[in-house]
Amino acid sequence: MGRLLGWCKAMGHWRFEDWSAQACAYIRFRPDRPPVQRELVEHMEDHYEALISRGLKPNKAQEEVVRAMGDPGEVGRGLAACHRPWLGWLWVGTRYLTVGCLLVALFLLPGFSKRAGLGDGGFLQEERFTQQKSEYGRRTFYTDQVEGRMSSDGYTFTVDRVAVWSYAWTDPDGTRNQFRSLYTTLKVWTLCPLLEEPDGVNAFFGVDDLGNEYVARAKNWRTGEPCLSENLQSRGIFTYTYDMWVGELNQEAQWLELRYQRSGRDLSLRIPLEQEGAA
Amino acid sequence: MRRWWSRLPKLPRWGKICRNLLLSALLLGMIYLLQGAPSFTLKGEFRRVERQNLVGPSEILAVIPVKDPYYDRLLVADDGAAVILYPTDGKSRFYYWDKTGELTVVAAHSDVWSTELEQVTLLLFHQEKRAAWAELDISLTSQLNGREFARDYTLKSQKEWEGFFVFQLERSVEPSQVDGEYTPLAQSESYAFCELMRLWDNRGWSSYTAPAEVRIYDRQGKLLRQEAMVLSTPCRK
Repeated sequence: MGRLLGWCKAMGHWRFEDWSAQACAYIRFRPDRPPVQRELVEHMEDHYEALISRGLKPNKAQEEVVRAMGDPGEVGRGLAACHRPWLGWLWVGTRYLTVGCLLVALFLLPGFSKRAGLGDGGFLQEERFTQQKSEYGRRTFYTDQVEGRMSSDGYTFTVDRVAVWSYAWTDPDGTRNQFRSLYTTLKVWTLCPLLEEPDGVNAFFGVDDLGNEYVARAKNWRTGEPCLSENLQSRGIFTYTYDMWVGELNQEAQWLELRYQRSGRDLSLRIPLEQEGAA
Repeated sequence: MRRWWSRLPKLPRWGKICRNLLLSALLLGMIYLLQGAPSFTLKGEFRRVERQNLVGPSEILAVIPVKDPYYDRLLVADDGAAVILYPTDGKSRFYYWDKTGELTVVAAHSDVWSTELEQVTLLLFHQEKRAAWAELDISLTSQLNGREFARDYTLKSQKEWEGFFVFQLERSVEPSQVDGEYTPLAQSESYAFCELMRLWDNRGWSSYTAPAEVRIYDRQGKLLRQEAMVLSTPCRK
């Protein structure tokens, strides 16, 4: 009996498949046909089982199910109206587009981390800030953050750290040498994703309270005057950090102003060279 | 994971299309940024590099063709007190030079090896409204491998762009090659060209000097201006 019922169900499934295949043949977007067909067959099988449980014979139940579904052509035309091919192809196209874009973005990500300088090496002038003494000199003043900032062209410039070193030594002929150097970190912020490192930093120059000028590095390479040098140390996603230093500061200077005066811009930021209140 | 996924609302097909398009747009934006947000036009690219150099916005005078193996166009701009040259070689190199009075001479940069440089593009910036053509006399010297080189050149330029003339300084020595290398004389001339061009190099100091004379004429051939100068490394602030 069980076998007979199973055979009848299989026969019914075959008839339902046949009917749904006829209906789905009207759907022009082919990838939609299998899921719609599966859904129709499941629906017909549910109806069939309901009729069987009400006591109908398998053959009668199959016929009743197919009759209830109506003309496959008519149902197929209705399905074709719902499943428009252009919408289907557009959907498939956008899926490929999304996956393609995702793959390209993943491919480019390592390059981005390189560009952003993530994982760059240590601070070139680190020892200038951490050490107290070296063979030839000693650090006389250190501060973590200089008050004030300069802004221009979408960039904001701040001075993060300052160290002033005093050097002294005596030459074999008895000449006493003495000079001061300044080491700072210049941090540049920009929230504009289109801007890269501010090359204009190489035109920054310094002026101390005694009126001495420390020319921009670009100019110093030509003239040999005392200069303010800079070197890009690291890049972040929104930041660029520069080492900035003056090799030979005036011994008496109490502050030095970073300045930029080009193309109508006039920026300045004062860096103290001595601790406030110190004798 | 499956539970979480199944909680998401089922979208109709047009909803899925919109979602995919939105995702693609976001990813395309990300790709654009990951690629360094390249500009779509030369002008846009120049304006960005200008901002990075904390100058401008300057007046773009022209984009001129240049005979150089590494780039074929040079953007020329005037920033009031300075002139800007921007080669379109994709290296974002920016040459900003203070004007030296009413007449300013600068050379376009080239990456050609010093003994193979075949020509130098010189630009003369001026303020003569009636200028129609100009002449530039220039004397070059060089010493390469003990060989002295000295030559005078007279260059002419018709007015093509407002505010500046373009002179092409080209080899006068036949650039014949022996065993795949230029003859010593041709190398000496190229070396002299290179020495001249380095006066306006961004990185590097040069003690080289070249005497020059500029003459600017109007349409009728009347001399509007004549000035002798010594071309040397200009200092920048």
